[in-house]
Amino acid sequence: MHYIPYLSTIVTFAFTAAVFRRYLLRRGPHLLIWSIGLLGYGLGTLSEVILGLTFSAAIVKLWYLAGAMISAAWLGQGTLHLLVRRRGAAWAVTGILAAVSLLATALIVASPITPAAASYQVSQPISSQYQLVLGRSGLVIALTILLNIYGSITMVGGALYSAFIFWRKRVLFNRMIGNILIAAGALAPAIGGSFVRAGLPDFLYLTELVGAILMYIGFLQATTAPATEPVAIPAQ
Amino acid sequence: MKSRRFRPSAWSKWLVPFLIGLLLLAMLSTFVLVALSVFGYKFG
Repeated sequence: MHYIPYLSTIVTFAFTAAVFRRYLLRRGPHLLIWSIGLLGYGLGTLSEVILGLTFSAAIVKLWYLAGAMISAAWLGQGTLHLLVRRRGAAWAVTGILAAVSLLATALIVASPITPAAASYQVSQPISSQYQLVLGRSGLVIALTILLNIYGSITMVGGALYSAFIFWRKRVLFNRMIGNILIAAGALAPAIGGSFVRAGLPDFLYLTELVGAILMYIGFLQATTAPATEPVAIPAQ
Repeated sequence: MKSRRFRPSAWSKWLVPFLIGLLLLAMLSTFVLVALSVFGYKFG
């Protein structure tokens, strides 16, 4: 179990660099916002690496804030920018998300580390110990749930919507497959997070790795031009 | 954008909508799990 966050961190930061490089080339705001979401994802898995070596109150808070609270919402926000044609509306929602993220940061910084931190075990995943170690207010828990639901609906729902449109119109096969992979990848850590809430914390690290790999492959698939010329289809 | 049409194979005609439906169902299931845990349901 210990090596999984190492792999997740490597994959996620490579993915982040690929998306940010594309942003530098193409300048789409969705690419920049996806980069922010992926950076949060990577900081979350990097925190798991560090917390597998030693305990740090600051890293526990970073893990919860970046990995559990805001990364999914920012990833979904990138998809919203890609799909919503009214740019003003998309930027307004981004402003709200930025404000909520700042509020989340303040709340997590102010959250107490409980005395149970003294019995923290580096051999166990943080996902099985954070509820004892980190004191979370009702507002923090509510924000975590709302941000993750928002992220799932926009990221998974957006990717599935795009895939369905490509399938229905029979166009851009690569992007159709890429979007299905992105949806599956985004869903994987959401399933892992739900399992944590349901009392099964051991699956989170694995679902994070699977999610990062699937999203990265999906991104590469969606952004790579097909090797062969498209098939000519007679007009119907 | 230049349209790049593809001819769907027999399997992709049903597999793609099946996968989309399956993933939507999985997403809704995660919401149900979260809702149950919020309302205090104990698993296992």
